[in-house]
Amino acid sequence: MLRLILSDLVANARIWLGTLLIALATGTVGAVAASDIRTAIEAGGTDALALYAISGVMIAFTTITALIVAGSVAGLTVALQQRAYALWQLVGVRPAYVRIVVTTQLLVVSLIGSVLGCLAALPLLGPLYRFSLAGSPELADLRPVLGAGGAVPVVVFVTLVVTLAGSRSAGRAARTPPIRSLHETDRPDQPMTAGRWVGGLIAVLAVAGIVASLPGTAPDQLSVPLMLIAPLTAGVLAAFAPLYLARLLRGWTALVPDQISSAWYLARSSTAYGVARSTATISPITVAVALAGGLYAANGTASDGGTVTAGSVVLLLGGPLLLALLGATATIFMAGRRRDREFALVVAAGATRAVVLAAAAWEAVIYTVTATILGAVAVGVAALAGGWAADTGTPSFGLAAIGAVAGIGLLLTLVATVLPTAVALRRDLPQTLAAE
Amino acid sequence: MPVLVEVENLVKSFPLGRGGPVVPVLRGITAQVSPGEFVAVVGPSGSGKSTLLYCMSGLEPATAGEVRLLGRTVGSLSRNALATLRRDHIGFVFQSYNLIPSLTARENVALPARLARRRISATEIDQALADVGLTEQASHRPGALSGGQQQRVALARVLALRPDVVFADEPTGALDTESGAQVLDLLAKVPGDGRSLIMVTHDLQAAARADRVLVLRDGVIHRELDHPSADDVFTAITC
Repeated sequence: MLRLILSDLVANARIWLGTLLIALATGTVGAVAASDIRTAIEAGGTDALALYAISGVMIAFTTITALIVAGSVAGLTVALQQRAYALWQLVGVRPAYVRIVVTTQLLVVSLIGSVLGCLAALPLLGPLYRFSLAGSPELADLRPVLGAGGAVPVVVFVTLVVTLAGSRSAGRAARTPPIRSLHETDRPDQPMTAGRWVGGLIAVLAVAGIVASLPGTAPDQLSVPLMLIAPLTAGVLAAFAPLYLARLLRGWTALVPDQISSAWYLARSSTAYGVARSTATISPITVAVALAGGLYAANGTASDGGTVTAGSVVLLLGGPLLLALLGATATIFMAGRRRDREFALVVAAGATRAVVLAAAAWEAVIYTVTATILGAVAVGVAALAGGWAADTGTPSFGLAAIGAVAGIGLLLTLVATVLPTAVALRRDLPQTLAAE
Repeated sequence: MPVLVEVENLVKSFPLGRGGPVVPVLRGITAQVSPGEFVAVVGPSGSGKSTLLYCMSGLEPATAGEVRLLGRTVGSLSRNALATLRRDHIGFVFQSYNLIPSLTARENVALPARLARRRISATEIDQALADVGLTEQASHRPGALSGGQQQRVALARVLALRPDVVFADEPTGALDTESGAQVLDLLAKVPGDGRSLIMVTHDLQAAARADRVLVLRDGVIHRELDHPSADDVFTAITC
């Protein structure tokens, strides 16, 4: 069995590398947030108060992003290997054992990734603090601390999120009859699981609670609660994505006629059909847009906002943004092997390589535009709530921030879709088609 | 008589792993296929049947020798020119159907025409699906179709475009007897009107329907049979 696990890890190295990378990035981002609290505890006094104010928002941003990104990636990790699990069952591995093996793989990979992530954070903490707190001379002498007390909760959190999210998918994979898995090698649907209902409803309650508390909040205290509304709303949208995402994708892409190009037609049908894969890519970008847009919208609406400095943006948003964009890119990279075959099918049907490359580029555009629409909705909720609470009548929407993050998201997804496609197109077509 | 597909001293070798020894699969094959002809390629597993088909169709580059498709030398064509040649003149039927999973049966049939920017009416698409007996499954995606139905969609996709030559690689290999017979009946309608069918098969009865059978063994043409019976094919393979 150990041999089976190891050979599976090697055979699906691309998928597991993506999972490891996300666990590592989540560990690094989590370690930065944890070090903020640890440093505050060590520092004490007024320095601690200043750091606590930052750490609350930072931890909220990091937690929301980590839950969505790590959860999506873990689910995708299992979904992409459904065929392998079916083959295991056909040679006599019991479904319960499949679940145990997959859960163990996730546990080990996420544990290694998060530990490496915490270690990777150590050399970054000093320069990050110096840059981020450059505008606060009273905090210049702070020495960032992480220690075991900061790292262990991060490792436990990341390992739990990845393992639990993947474990549920593994349970579903084990329950699915193997013949069905082999027949539908790429199950496109994204089920609305109990976990999604619970997570989504908790996020709805959190948003409702924050909005309800706004009228009683002093105008100079509004920015922090307002900052949290957009990412939490993005969390709601990500959790309930299976209920609407396919329709949204089909709906807005229908505005561009299929006749404009074969590449657009292929990209459109592929993204709307592969909802599980699309959700895994779109949700992290949605969070990224909501984080950045929400910060600037809150800052523009609340009277205590002042000017958002580069340092505060890096400290508050840098990690979660990086994690979200990395998550979106990783999901595309992980699904690449499955896509190789799809591209080969299109070439076999008569497409030129240029059409296939253009289809990959259009997919990146569809992912990013869809995520931007959803992210803008989340920011809109925050802006309208802020405008209502602050009674300014002119809510701020952080449009420049939304545009900037959407642009970066588009660039990354373009690289993640087009480059592997170009490489895949160089492979031998018959071999790729015969791969399954 | 003009020649549709021609291979001359075709050699194809594959390296065994990175930097490993090179294993010859085809060792100098010369053959021609004329318009309207139905040619079957048979032989034991590993004899090079599928490799010959892929080299003939330009899906696999030859190691040495020459492949000419519709009078054009495949080795001298750019990737895009080759893709265009395949798109406009060639149809493929694979053992594993190779339908696009995100498209319905109707969309799969229409795809090659769309890619070739060729006008194909809804009536033509529906007719192609009706010809293979799948009118009611037109809006189903491949995942909701049986193996035989998927293969018939793949056939409808090929037949709708009326390509000059159809390459079929074990088209009935994954099907039950009844579905296989249905697919063979449909494929048998391809040759004629200048269109040719080149089919790799293990099925002796299927091979016996061909005008000509190439029997491959160890990468060379061992025997060539005209209008053989299934027994003739069996004897040629085993002796």
